[in-house]
Amino acid sequence: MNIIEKYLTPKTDKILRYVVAPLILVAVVGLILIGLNGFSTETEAEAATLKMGSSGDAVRELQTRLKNWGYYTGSVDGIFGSQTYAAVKYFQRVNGLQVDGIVGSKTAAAVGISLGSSSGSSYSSSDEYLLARLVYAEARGEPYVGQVAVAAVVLNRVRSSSFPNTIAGVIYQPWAFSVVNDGQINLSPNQTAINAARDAMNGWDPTYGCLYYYNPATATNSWIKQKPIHLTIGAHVFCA
Amino acid sequence: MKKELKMRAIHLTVALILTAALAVSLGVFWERQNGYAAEIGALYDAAYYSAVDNLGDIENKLKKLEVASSTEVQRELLEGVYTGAEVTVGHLATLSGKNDEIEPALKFVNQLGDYAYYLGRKAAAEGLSDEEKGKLKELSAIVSELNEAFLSAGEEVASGGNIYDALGDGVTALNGIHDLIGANNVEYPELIYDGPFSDGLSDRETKFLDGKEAVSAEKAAEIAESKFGGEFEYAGESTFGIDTYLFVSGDRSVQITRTGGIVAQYTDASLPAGGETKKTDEILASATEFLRSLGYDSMKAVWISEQSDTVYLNFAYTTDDVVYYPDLVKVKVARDTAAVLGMEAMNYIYNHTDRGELVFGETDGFVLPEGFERKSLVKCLIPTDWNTERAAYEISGEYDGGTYYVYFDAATGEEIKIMRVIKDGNEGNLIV
Repeated sequence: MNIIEKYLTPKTDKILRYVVAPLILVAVVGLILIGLNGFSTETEAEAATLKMGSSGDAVRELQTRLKNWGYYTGSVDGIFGSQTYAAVKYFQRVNGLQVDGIVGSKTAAAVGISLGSSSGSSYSSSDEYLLARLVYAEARGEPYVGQVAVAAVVLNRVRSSSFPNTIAGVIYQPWAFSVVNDGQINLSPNQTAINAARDAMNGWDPTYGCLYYYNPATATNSWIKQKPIHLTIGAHVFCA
Repeated sequence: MKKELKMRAIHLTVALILTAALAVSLGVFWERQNGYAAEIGALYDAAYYSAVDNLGDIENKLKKLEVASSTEVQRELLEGVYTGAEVTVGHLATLSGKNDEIEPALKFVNQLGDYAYYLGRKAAAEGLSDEEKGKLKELSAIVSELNEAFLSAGEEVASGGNIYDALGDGVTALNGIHDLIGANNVEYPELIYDGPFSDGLSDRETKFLDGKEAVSAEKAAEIAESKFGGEFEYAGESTFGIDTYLFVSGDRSVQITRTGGIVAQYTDASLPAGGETKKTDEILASATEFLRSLGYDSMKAVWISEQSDTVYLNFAYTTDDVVYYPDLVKVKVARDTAAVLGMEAMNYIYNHTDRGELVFGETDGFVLPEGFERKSLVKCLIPTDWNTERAAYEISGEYDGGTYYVYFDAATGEEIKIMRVIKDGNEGNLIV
């Protein structure tokens, strides 16, 4: 008697046929239905908190309140940086809350602000934030100077006659950036990407006017590979 | 046996229900996809029709300019061409992903708008020359052909079809755009080629490096290490705009010019710790000393902008009480430690040179609105939109609750530029 015969008794066979098999079928079809109709759960927000790297109106509101009460002395810019972090910890210490620098439900209630379900990625329409989103999506693994360079390329395109004349126009030009097509542009940028975008908007351009960049290891466009390379930073090469 | 039949019936029912659900779902899926496609198609259709509409409008205005003789009408028409070109560029950019022929069209319309903007400002003061009118006529003919090409492309689309799809391989009408613009080889005046949207920017002269000696990568690394401390690793070279060596040390990077061994750019990605904010004087002193240590002497802080944890300062070369705004160096400082986190000197390297003595005329006779409270008068050199320079008097002051900087030509006293300080609600200020 082999091992299958030993365990595949008539009872086991019935269970497999009439319980397990239909359940698997239901699961498979269910997954197909979810896939087709976009009931994806990947966009569900993580626990609603404000922390280092968060940005948007909720952070602005937080900073305004902390500033009014004297806990915060920095700019009300909607970006949760180190000063905001220090102010939150100060507030938590004074008010007997857990001192972790993260605004969760208790701290938010104490401050008197409401946290939306996706506070960490609050939408900001400012050009700087949009640029930071592109930098984060395109170059988050790159050295800082490489992130500034990516942001500078966008701004160089805005100034070039061959491209649209606004930051949004350049970023959302069809097929210009693959991260727009695959949705990575909607990821929340970290503080480094925000700083890189800010540096570029304040005039830093490590490429001195380049209009294109690509990763030679992954690029498939043969046209862009014909352009002379003027600078290499990390995995990206830059050309004009 | 009966029980088994019953189970089979249940099994079959479940399978049927699932199949029906799958079929319905597929139907909903396809319906939704068609909906999305129709919506996106409508956006592309709108871009196409708006582009054609605006090209027609630009052509019409250019034709009117051929007969317009009053400077006011000329200015009005040229401003219309400029704004029409700006709008058209946006629509062409939307369509450009599908057809490579659209990119030269976009570039042409952008430069046309740039030229119209320049001529519009000139027309208001002195009208248009015959040569400029001739150039506009030439441009009008190209716009006409361009418009014709786009209209033909639309006609090639089968009724009810999607224009964006059809702009791809199926349409031949656009194939001639590259040749049309290339063959006509529009030669704008020299001034425009040096303009902000022009091709001329790609080969700008690095005036500050003129006459300086080439340095090796090894020598440049020594410079980086002596100026910033630590060990810097060679990370490549930039061969565009300003030729530089790139060195990296942890979070820090520095670019040193291959000619002259000048520090052109420095970045430190360290995030401020968030301690107590230093006073502006300390931040200013730190940035000034930093520049001095790199060899940038006679630099005066002309603007300060506080953004989150950092402060950005603009320094301009200043000598004999004249501020040279084109020779700008920017410094980024941490607010909590006053440590310098970045520096960039691109404008200084491009522009700084011995310009000889500038001529400044009388300071009376500047016309300012009633109620304008003058605060300061400064002699300066300012960059123009066309990459040229102009000696000017800068008058700062308050008017109706706002801070303004007004610039008058140093020789003629003509008002040439106005800037207004925008309080953005933070400590930082912004000039536009």
